[in-house]
Amino acid sequence: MLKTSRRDLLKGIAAAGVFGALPGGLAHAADAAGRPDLRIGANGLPRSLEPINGIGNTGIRILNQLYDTLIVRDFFHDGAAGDATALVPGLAERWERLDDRTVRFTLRQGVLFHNGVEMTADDVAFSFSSERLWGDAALKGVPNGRAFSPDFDEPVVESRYSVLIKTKTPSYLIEKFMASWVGRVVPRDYYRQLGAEGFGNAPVGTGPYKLAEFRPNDRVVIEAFDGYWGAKPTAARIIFQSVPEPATRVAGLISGEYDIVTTLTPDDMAMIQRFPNFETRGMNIENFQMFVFNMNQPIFKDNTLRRAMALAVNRPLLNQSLWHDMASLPRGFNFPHYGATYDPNRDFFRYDPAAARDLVKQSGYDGRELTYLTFGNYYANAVPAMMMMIEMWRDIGVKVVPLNVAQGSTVPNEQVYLRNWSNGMSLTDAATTLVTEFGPGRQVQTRHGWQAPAEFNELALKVMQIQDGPERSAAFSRMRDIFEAESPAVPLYRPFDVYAARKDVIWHPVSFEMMELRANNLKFA
Amino acid sequence: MSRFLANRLLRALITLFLTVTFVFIVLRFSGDPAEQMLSPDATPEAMQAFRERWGLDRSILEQYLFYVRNIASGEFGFSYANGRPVIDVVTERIPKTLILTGAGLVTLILIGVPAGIAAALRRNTAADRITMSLAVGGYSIPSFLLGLALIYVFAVELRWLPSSGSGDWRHAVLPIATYGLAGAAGIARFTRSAMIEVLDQPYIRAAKAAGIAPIEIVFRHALPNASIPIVTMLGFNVAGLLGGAVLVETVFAWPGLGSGFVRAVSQGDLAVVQFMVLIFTAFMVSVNFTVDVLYAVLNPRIRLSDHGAH
Repeated sequence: MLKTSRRDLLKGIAAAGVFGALPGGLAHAADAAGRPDLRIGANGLPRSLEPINGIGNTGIRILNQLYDTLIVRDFFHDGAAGDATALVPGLAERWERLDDRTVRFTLRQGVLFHNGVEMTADDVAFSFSSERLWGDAALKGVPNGRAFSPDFDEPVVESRYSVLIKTKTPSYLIEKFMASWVGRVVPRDYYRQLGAEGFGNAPVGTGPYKLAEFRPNDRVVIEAFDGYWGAKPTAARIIFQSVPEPATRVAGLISGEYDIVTTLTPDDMAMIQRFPNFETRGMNIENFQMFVFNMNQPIFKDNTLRRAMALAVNRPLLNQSLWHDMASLPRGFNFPHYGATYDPNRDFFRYDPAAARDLVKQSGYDGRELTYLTFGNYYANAVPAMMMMIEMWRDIGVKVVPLNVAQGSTVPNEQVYLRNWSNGMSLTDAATTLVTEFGPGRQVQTRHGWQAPAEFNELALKVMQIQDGPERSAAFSRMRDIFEAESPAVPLYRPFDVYAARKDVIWHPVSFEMMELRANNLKFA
Repeated sequence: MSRFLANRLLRALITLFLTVTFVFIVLRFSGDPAEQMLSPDATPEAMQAFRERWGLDRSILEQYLFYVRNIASGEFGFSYANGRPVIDVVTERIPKTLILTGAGLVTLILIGVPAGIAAALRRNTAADRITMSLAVGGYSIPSFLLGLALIYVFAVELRWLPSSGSGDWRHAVLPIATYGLAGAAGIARFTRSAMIEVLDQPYIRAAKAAGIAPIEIVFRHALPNASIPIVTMLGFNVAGLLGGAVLVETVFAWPGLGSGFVRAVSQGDLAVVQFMVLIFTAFMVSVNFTVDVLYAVLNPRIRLSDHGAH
């Protein structure tokens, strides 16, 4: 009902545009330096602005402006469109690998936190210590800190501006972790004083913007930090206003209340593009939607029926029907941002209903109804995708029924056969998430019951410990083969994330689930 | 009167206690707050640490006794989402909701009651039919749809008012109008029915025959006697305003109790949900109590029947 109404409203807004209404919009406020405010109508706000507790699609777009990392991923490197994977210096002027588990970071001098205190190696060491991030005591304040971290060992402060970041086991991913969402640096003394929860309500970082106002579930205002060590911020303030209803976000853009609105769908694009002063901007993000089998169920312990159901999924049809062909179909468990560990020659996942029917016969499937758990459309288009796949599975003789519940509802595991899921890939490496979610001791094996072949688990350990090169690429290739033969889960596509913006706001989306609003990617015409 | 008040007060307290207990139990069986708050990707240790942090690893009975003891001593706990005191999280939203519901209530009374009286006085005329058609339309349209329509007209087309947020008074106009217009429609219909019934009474005809001015007949003789169904309906409306807040505040991104409640439920922030339910229940009980008292004031027979008199 709500969706129909929303579409109707959007059609009405489109009609207004055709009749030539709607010029510029409300005037921008500007500071003494002539910098305007940027007003963003966002789908939601994070519960906390602590760097780890705020992780989520509503949080990292703000966290990225408040904090810096030692190493920065330059999404626009060499003129890229927002999906480059180059790592460049951030808070660290340079870094050098000392051995297979240690990287020395030489810090930039004179970097100030928003409270005026200089950042030193003590702050960096604290940020990646067991006390703050991954130890038992840290779990209560930063519950996901350990899950998002590599196998950290305690950092070692060498001098005021030099620190060693270490792992307990060999890892050549330390640099990539330092450029990811786990790599944000916090001020030690201030953080200790407030604790993780208090810090999340009154955060202090080294980023180009500092917090001005945090009204949970209402709005977050950040303002230019002119003591920033890098390029000076180009907006006086950035206001993130929570507007959960998509139709209201669009109305707010058209009426001039917002300069950018987030989290629209490809369905909205044609309508926005009818307005002369607005446009949509989007990109395939480094996240993939999938469904995962509950391999604790006897019928799915063996891979035969799993493989059959994987072969029955017609991804191009899903993409055409639900995403206007804008989602990105993967070449196996293999995505372009993996850099050296991406295999551009690998085939797309197979669609072969005839082979699927044969496998169903071999599987001993007894015709029972298999439940597919979804939390509504928590993942964009999750419900229509499920309904389309149910028909695809019916076509091969497998009966699947939806189990659609509210997000966060507890459903006994024995009632579930399949569930939808997505994985955000926070590293530019194939380890995410082939190892970090599907590897030994990770949740697909511990929670969803996948009894992975020993070879897969051995390779998973290997790829985490060796450097990029032919040996590592070959190991990933073999893991992908095993994954497809085993089919513990079925990746579908990388979604297309849609924003709409005023044309005079020069800003581009990036391929990760965040917004880059620093000086290199935000200007006003 | 004092026995009447004591009786109603006791009922109110029992209602409050039973609701809070029921909600506590239902919430504990409706999902795992650790999973809701931390995402499905959280490790089992993280989930366990979260449960220990908030006492969710204890038995339901222990949690309940702890909760009741804390309420009795005025402690309502802390938000699971950000560790802030629940009382702060909720009370900072109350003024926002009071602005909308209070102004919405005044708007619906100012529009609905006069419209109903006017329709009753001009029964079966074109004015009556037009008023009642509008009222039926207003009563039928869901409040979120009305809100979206108002956004379309006044924010997108005319660009007179903002569509969302709560920055200044202009942000309040459309949500208040949504409340007021939706509620006024129902009140207009009830007022008309109640007035028509009263206007047919012999004492009104007698008053007319006695030459009393029409305005005095309406406001001194008819309206007070028609007021009980109107007050009842207003009571429902006041209670319904909170329910409507969930939709209207979400559509207009208005940071009041309604949108806060939706967010707290979806996040599994049980401490906030429980306190909000406590507030909602207390509010509903207060409204019912007030309506009961108003009945007794307006009609002494109700007061007497509570004493066993017939």
